[in-house]
Amino acid sequence: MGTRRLQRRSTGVAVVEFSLAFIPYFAMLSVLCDASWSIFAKATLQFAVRSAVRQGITITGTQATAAGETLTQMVKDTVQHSALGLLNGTSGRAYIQVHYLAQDSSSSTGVTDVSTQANGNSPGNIMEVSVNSYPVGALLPRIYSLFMPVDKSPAMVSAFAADRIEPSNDVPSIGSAP
Amino acid sequence: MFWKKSKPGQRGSLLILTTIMVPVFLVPLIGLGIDATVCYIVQAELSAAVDGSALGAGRLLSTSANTTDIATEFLNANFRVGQGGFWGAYSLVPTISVSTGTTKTVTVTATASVPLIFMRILGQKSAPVAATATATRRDARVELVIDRSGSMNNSDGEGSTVIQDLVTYAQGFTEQFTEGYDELGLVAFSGSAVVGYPTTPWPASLSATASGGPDTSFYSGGTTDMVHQIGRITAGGATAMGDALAIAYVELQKAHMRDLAANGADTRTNAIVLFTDGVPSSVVTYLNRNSNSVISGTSSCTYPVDTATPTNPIYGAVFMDGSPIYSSGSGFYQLKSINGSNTSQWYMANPVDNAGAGTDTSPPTTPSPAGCKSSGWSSLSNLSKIPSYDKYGYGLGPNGSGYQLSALVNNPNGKTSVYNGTAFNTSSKTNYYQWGLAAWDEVDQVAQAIRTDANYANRSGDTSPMPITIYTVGYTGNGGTDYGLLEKIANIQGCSVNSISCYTDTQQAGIYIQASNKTALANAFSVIATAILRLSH
Amino acid sequence: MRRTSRSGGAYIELALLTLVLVPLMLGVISCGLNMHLQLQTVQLARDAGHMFAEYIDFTLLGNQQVLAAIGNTLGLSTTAGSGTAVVILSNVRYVDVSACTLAGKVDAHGNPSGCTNYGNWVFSTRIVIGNSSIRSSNLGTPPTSIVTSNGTIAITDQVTNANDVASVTGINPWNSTTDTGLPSGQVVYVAEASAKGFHMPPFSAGTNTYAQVYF
Repeated sequence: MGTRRLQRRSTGVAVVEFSLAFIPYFAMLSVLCDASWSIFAKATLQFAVRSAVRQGITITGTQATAAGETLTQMVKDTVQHSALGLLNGTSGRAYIQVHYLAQDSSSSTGVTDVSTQANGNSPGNIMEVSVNSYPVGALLPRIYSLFMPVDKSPAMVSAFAADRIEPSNDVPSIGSAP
Repeated sequence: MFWKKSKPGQRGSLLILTTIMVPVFLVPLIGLGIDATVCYIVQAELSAAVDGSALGAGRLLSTSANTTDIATEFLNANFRVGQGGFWGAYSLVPTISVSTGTTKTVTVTATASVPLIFMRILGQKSAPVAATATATRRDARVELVIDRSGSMNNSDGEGSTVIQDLVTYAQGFTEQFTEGYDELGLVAFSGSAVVGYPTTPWPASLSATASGGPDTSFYSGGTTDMVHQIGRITAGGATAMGDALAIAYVELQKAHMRDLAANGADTRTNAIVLFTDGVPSSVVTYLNRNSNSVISGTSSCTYPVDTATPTNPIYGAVFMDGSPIYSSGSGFYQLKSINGSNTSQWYMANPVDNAGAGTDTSPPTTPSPAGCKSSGWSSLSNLSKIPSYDKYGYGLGPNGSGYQLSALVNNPNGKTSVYNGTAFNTSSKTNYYQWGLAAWDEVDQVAQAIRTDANYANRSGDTSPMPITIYTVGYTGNGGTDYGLLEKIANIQGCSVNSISCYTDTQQAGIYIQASNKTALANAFSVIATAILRLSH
Repeated sequence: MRRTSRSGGAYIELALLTLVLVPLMLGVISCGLNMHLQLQTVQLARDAGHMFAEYIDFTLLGNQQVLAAIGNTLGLSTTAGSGTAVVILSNVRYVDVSACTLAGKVDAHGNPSGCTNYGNWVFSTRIVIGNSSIRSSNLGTPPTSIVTSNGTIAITDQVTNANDVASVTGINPWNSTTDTGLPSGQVVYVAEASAKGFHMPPFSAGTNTYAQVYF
């Protein structure tokens, strides 16, 4: 009688052991997981804004008319396409900003933001494409304690790229920026 | 017996779990994080390398350099296979193609392979990355037309004068072209215009002869090269924009005919780059023109009507004073003759001679017509009317909507147009407002002739019209300029001023840049240079 | 006997796995962060260099702020001497006979005379943005006394000042015998960027990242 009780207890202990051991194991896995994912996400966003700038500075008015879109729209489309699905949909698009900057010695910094002006995208101005405060959500939410709610707060990442708009006689319409 | 069977299963559970997880979960995820980022890095490096290669080689298209070799050198210098920072990338394969012709293009494409670290566990040993870039360049023929009126001596607000800044930026502009391949010329204008470069033949002929015009030695380092000539420019006098454009057109045609004779064909792009800080205030005209003499019958001039072949032409300029809307002026001044002692350099340094006139490129008038005052008429009542043509035969009346397209910016009198509602009337010969309209129209008419190459029919031996693009820069800091005029003559796309369209889509479209300060001025020149050369990716 | 050896088995496995997983985890994090810094450095060098080669003036604060935005993760600051990254922009030219002529260092026959840098690459422009103590340029550093406020170096200094010599590899100047190389009078635009790396020994030593592009 006493032997059986001992055996049953040892069974339960092994399961509990496993559960206890699994928690730090799982924590390490989830750190690996989240770290890899956020590195990948940030690199992808960086690549996406770079591709968009690279293409955006050479877009001509003819191309914009053929696509039926304005310059800012086409640039944001390129960011979304290059971001491997991270920035899909209207909510994803809301993180993308396109700024136009003109050289202007009347400004104290020598540069003025002309994104809201109709000729903001004149050749020679700088186009800056950015993804601002994009939340890279945790793949595996963090459980600090059984008594606290699960921590799903994301890390905020940003990515920027900029270049000078190429000279052209065929300038597209700027659209609504930033 | 349940627990007996399960005992062996409890051993090694974490290890078994891990063994399953590694290929299914861990490696792909870490592979995504690490390997994908390595690929992004190498792709970014390759992209930077081809961009550098295309732009670096693109600058050298149409020079003596072997573009393919230079592009390969740049590419290898930027993407150093085997060195640290390149993550073991190997097998860099460049493909460089250069296409020649009037528009030269270099396209640099490169692929490389990146060894993967984690994904090779799953069998994927390497990944390819690729990048491509293109640069284009065209052989150019550019006539730089520079306003050196008196207002250019004003301060630029940053410790220098506008003319000093302009000289610096114009010299920088010439450096962006390639000596020996591109052709550059210079026209400077005050009360009238002078050819600043090339300095010979001098006097520069006013017909499209096959000599003179912009040439490829503009940066030769000699004391009369274009850079030095620009440095000789000093400011003073009025703004004879129409005269300047007319001479610039002649200069381009001379170079065109010269190259056509030498090479059998001429496919360069032609451009006129006009810089001004004001509004046209001088009309250069031919008073006693055979078919349209405006010398009044009551004047005591000996040669009131010239012969059909100009024998005693009275060329001169009518100057308006102040800023639009003009209400006063200095009258008519016969332009100074050119002779061997007053060289091109002398005129560059002396914008206003002692008669108050600018410089002239017409043959000397001998004898000075008696009774037609050689120094000038301050009163225009000796004229019967405002002439219908300028010195070269361009109309002084409106071309289409004409002066209604005038739009002034920064005008000190608060005016927005040179036009106040009163139409052009040639009989109002003493009314400087009317001469202001004539001056405006002269520029418009000349620019129209340039964009349509109206003189093509008169160039015997020429096989096709010359496409010429006009680029304009308007500096607004010196009493304002007329952006309506400058946009119209550049024929900018979508041009519309005062709700009137000023764009013709069958003609070359140029660029108009408004500059209000020194930095914007520098930027304007560099934007126009790269637009002419079409250096792009 | 069997019972005691079974209990605690999971912990032993965990200990063994931890020995593997923790270094893996820390390695991934530090390596990944460093790689990300490297990616940003490459893109910063490319963007800065391309804009520089298209005549954007980086002595103006506004343009430097654009670079600071691109390099924000790297800690590029527009205040000289602060921040954890640096961007070095240079123009280099090869001093040949025409360069000596421009400076007036030729004799009556047009041969170089007093043109001490003849045959060398020299700097004609140098602009530094950010913290110059992070890393110095691979090409060399011209003395700050000869660099003017808009970044340019006078032609006389270029052809005579020995401290202005640059060390350029990979681009050959013009060789009239073989008809190859960079023609006379052309400048090469060089952009270099460097940032402080992520420091977590022994996985990452905190080496500075570096990228260089010739335009």
